[in-house]
Formats: sequence, structure tokens, C-alpha cells
Amino acid sequence: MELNRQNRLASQSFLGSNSESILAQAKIAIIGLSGGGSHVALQLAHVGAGNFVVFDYDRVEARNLNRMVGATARDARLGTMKSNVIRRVIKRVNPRAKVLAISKKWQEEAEHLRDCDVIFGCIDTFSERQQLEATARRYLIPYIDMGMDVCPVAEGFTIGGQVALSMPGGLCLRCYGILTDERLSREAAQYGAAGSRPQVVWANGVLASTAVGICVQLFCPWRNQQTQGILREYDGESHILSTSNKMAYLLDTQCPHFSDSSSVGDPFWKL
Amino acid sequence: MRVLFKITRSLLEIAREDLLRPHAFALERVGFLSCRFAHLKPFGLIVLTCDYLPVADGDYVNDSTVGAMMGSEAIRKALQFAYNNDVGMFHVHIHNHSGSPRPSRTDLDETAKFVPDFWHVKPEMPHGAIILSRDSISGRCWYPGRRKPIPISKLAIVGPRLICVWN
Repeated sequence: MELNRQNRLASQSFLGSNSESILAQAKIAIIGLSGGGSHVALQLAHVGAGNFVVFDYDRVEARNLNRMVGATARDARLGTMKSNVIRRVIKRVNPRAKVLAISKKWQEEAEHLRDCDVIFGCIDTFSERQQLEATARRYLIPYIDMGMDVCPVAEGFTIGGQVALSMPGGLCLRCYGILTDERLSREAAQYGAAGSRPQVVWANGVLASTAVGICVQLFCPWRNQQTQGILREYDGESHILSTSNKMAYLLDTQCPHFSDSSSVGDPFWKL
Repeated sequence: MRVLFKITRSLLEIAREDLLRPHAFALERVGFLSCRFAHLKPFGLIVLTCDYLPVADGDYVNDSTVGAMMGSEAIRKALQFAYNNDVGMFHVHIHNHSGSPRPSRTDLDETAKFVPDFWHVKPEMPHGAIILSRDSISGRCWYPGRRKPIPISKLAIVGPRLICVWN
């Protein structure tokens, strides 16, 4: 028997008397369903998001089990599509949720993103993040980008990451310095391959929780929030996530990268 | 046919600020939102607002029977804007109350007269009419090939607070 929804969400009633219906009607896309995206999907199911579009063209492998929440050893053995795992994860928490799970590259069926209210980018390559942000801007959709990295240093490794909100009309990933020509050209020189980047579940979880918080705050702000841009940076040594120092000088900046209104809508409109 | 309408909070505030300015004789102001479009499968439309075009003070006609009457120059400028910028045009005005704004009989009659005129310059584009209230929004869309306007089923205000209004 399905649990009473009101009882299930009672402890988040401070989000507003109509927050349940707002979140139930929200349509949210998640691109990339491994370390970051799986956490995002699970948490959004818990808060009561009702409509999902999830993309991942990969199958679960044993090496994903260190961080992909909801994936099992059986999934790794069978090679279950990650999108099907995430549909299962969402439906187990929220059986009423509508989940469009697409086991393809998002670019192959990008039309499913157009009427989404928010897009989460949980992907590795800078070029793909650039494409995804441009798509989100084209359809006036807030885009929440997550990224983490483990880098070797002299004494060991550093864990870092960030969560950024790219709001139509506001600051973008280039404004934040996440996308740079140097990063894009370095990646292009490696034929767009990010390679097998080290990822860990606790850092993914911190970043994903923050990203979900930003998303819920957009729909159901629990305090007055006026910012058009958010950039939070994660320091894996101190386990602290804080507002980037860049925001101090960026907040009064107008984004010069998406200022052309002709880049909105279908590129070649035809009836 | 499902029609979605999207506008950024910042553009909506620009429009609202202009529409709430007092006029020498008109009781309210009107303006136009220029829009571009995207298809929605299987058969739907997303209206994406780009710019706000105010009606100049001198382009109102002094007519005490209605809140605001645009002169021919206001319409001509809006037609020209649509032609030059390859956009659809949505007439916009404010009903100064809270809750969902519904079109008055005058709104229905007047928009039915002039909105289809935009097809003379942009026949392939949808055009329409939007009504704002203090805290909500509603609208209708004239789609090419259909004489009757389609009610817009979802209107989204995109900003630090995401507001979706379902009609």
C-alpha cells in the first residue's frame, strides 16, 4: 500500500503549504547517473520531485559500485543500464514519480530536455558541459553543474569540486571560470576523453546534496533569496564547502556569453 | 496542443516597471514581449520571451471607454519590430489585483482584432497576449493556421525563485 504523501513529506512542510504540489509537478533532468547523478536522483525522489528525465548511455560496471548509489553487485554482473537502475531507485522511494529513463547520449534525444524546469549536469567532460549549458540557456532552463576531481600533489592527493548554478539571464560556467578555452582545448587534444577520473562517494554526496538544496531552493525558497548566481567550492581536505571567492567580484557582473537573445529557441524555427 | 510560456524574472520586472508607470491620460499601460519558439513533441510549443517593447507615451489614444487604447503608430512599431527581429509578438498588460488574471470582454475583443495582424509580417510565427496580475500570469497564443487562440497551459517565471503557473 502506498504511504500517505502528506505524512511522508510532513517534516519538510516549512518549504511552504503548496511545496508538495510544486515539487510533484516539477520536471527535472539529470544527465550522468553515476557518482553525482545517482545521489541527485535519490535525494530528489525523497523530497517529492514528481517528474524525471534521466540520461546515461553506460552500463553499471564493478568499478562504479564505489560511488553509484542504488547500484548493486548484481547490476554490475548483469551490466544493467545505469538509467534503469536510477529509474528503479526513484520509483522505490516515490512510486508515483514519472521517470523517462533514456539509455543514450543526451544529445541524441535532447528534445526531452526542452520542457524541463531544471537540468542537472553530472558529467565529466568540459565540452559536454558547455553543450549542455548552451542547451539549457536556449530553452531558458536553470542549469546546475557539478564537478569533482582528485589530483596528485607532492604529499598525496587533493580532492576538490564545485557546484554552480547557471541561471538564464545570470552568470554562466565561463563567468565562473569553470569553462575556459584552455581546459576545452586541452580536452580536445585528448579527443574529448576525460578518462577514468578518480571519484569518491563522500565527495560526490556533499556536492550532490548541495546541488539538490539549490534546486529545492529555486522551487520552494525557505528564505528570501535574490541571487542570480551560485558557485560553491568543495575542499576535500577540510571537508568544507563554501561560496567561491570569485563571487565577491562577479555578483555585479553581467554575463557577456549568453547576451544574444537570438540564441533562444529552436535555431531554425519552422511550423 | 500544449503551449508553455517562459520569461526570465529580470525581463518580467522590466516589463512590470514600465507597465505600472502612470500615463498622462491612459488609465493603464500596455506593451509587447518579443518571443522565439521551440517545438515540443508530440505536438506542442514553447514560447521563449526575449525582449520587452514598451508603447511610447505619445502612441496612446485618448479614449475614456477603455483603460488604454494604442494608436496606429504603436501597432506599426510592434509590427516593424517583429519583421526586423524575426520574432513573434505577445501583447502584455497588467490587471491590478492578486490571483489569476482573466481577460475582460474588451481584452478578448481587442486582442482578437489586432494580434492576428502580426501574421501579415510574420505569418510563420505564433503571436499572443499575456496578462499579468500582482502575483500571477495568464495568456493566450494564436498559432498559425488556427483562428482561435489557445490558452497557455503553463507559464514559468525563471529566476532565483522558479514560479510555474498552471492554467
